[in-house]
Amino acid sequence: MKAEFEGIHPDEGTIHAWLDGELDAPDAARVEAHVATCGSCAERVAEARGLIAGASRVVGLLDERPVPLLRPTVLATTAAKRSPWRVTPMRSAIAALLLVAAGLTLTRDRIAMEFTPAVPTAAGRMADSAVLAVAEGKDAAATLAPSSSAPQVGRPTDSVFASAVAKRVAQDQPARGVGAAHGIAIPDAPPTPAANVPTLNAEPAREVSRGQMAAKLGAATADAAADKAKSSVAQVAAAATCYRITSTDTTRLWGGVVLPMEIALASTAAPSDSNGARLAITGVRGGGTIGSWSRLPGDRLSLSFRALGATTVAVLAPAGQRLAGTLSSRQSTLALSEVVVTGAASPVARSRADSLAPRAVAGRDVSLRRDSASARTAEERRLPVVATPIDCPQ
Amino acid sequence: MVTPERLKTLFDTYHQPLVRFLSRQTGDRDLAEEVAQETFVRALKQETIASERSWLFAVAMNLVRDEARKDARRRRRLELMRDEAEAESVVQPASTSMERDEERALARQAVEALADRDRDALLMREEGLSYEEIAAALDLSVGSVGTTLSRARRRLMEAYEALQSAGSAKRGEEES
Repeated sequence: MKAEFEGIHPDEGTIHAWLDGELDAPDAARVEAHVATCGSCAERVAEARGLIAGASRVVGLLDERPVPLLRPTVLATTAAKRSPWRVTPMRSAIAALLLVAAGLTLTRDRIAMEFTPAVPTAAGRMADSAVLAVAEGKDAAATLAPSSSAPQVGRPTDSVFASAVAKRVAQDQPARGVGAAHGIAIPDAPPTPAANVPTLNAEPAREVSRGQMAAKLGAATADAAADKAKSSVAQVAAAATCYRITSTDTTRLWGGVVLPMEIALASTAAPSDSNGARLAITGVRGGGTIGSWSRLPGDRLSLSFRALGATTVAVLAPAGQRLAGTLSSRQSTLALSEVVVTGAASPVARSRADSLAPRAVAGRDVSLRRDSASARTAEERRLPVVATPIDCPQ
Repeated sequence: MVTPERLKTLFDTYHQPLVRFLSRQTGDRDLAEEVAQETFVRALKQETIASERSWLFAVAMNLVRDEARKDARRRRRLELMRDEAEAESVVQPASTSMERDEERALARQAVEALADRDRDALLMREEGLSYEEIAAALDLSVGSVGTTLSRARRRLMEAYEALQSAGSAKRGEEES
């Protein structure tokens, strides 16, 4: 064959590049001319076409379902900044605190189901559909749906978690019957309507800012509670101290949370709240992760919180102007009610809880305490971290 | 510095392909979402990004390779075992959706069988990356992308077809 005499049979890679439209014009013309006159190359081209189409089909088979389009709502903060109703991370944190206070007992079955080891994915799907039912059946929970697509807080588990909280709170409030109705004591907040609950969910969903989901959770939770029981639980003091937690290894996806993250420590004045001090994560993962904190002797700080399905304990000791320690996280089948403050705060520690400031004390040994309740959980992951004090986001 | 406006554009343009790419890589949609988020967080910290799409896919890929990789593998295996168990438990003539599940399990196995680089290149190409972008993301020469892709496609199809015929042979034995 003439082409063979010319010695320019394109190799397989070149044929693919040609079919992919990635050869420059002279090369493409050369391959085209060759293939037109070379029977064996024409066959190879036909085979390559089949491979390209087949491989594309096989890759497409991997897709379980279409990927929904998530909106980058977290970045659309400009409009929110202009509004006096805007939700600041601080307010969100406080709203998240209310959420904790209101939803303290929670979702044992939900979380257990999520982490049944044998069939984790199937269990996850079951759980998702269960929560969809909640969202459809309740206005309060339904408001969670749009904000759940905000990227910073957008994992399905967050809305699952939130819906579970809203549901459980609605169920629990009549029985618990705690106190009279209180709103959230948000600094600079506009007057709240009759239920003393910020109507944040009246804002357009497309302008949801980073912290807004958390605030919505608080509002939705409180709405649900007020509707059912005409009471809400927590009156949260505004005082808070904030830290940014980083690790030398920032690539770690840790316990469902991506570092670095920011945490807000706040105390609460709610008499029903025996733990006294709350922690909210205001960083990457928004309001889905909540917990409690306390002071330990020696100015150490004990954190205990969870992302959905992972319980985390850390004791941070002063190290110069910062705090250092180890985050220890494990997958958990626990209910939120079983998340405890490690090394329960003494009365003294509690009274100092809202004036926590880093002190220049020499570094100390870091002691890790495990929740006794998390003993039946599986893998533990530990990550050395440093907590740097920051201004609380306004 | 990548401005928030620019990041929004990046996000609008690339989030969906990135999540799909990562889901295909890991077989784990939740992990894919997390890694995609982290990728955009990192983009925000960049002074400049020369080739955005290459950069995003390369960073996402490296994140997957990092610590999360082992976890993802474990979960993937569990999923595979489950899919296989489901496929094997089919007694009635397979319905369309069961065929689809089985096909997906086979596809997952076949993709798993590829060398990392071949798989990366193929999944990136399926998201529309040019040879130049794939070369930048994978630190290859542009000239070798065609070879990499042709090898990936051929091996994928060989693996998939081998798994398919193994599966139907097994069913044949069970039926007879």
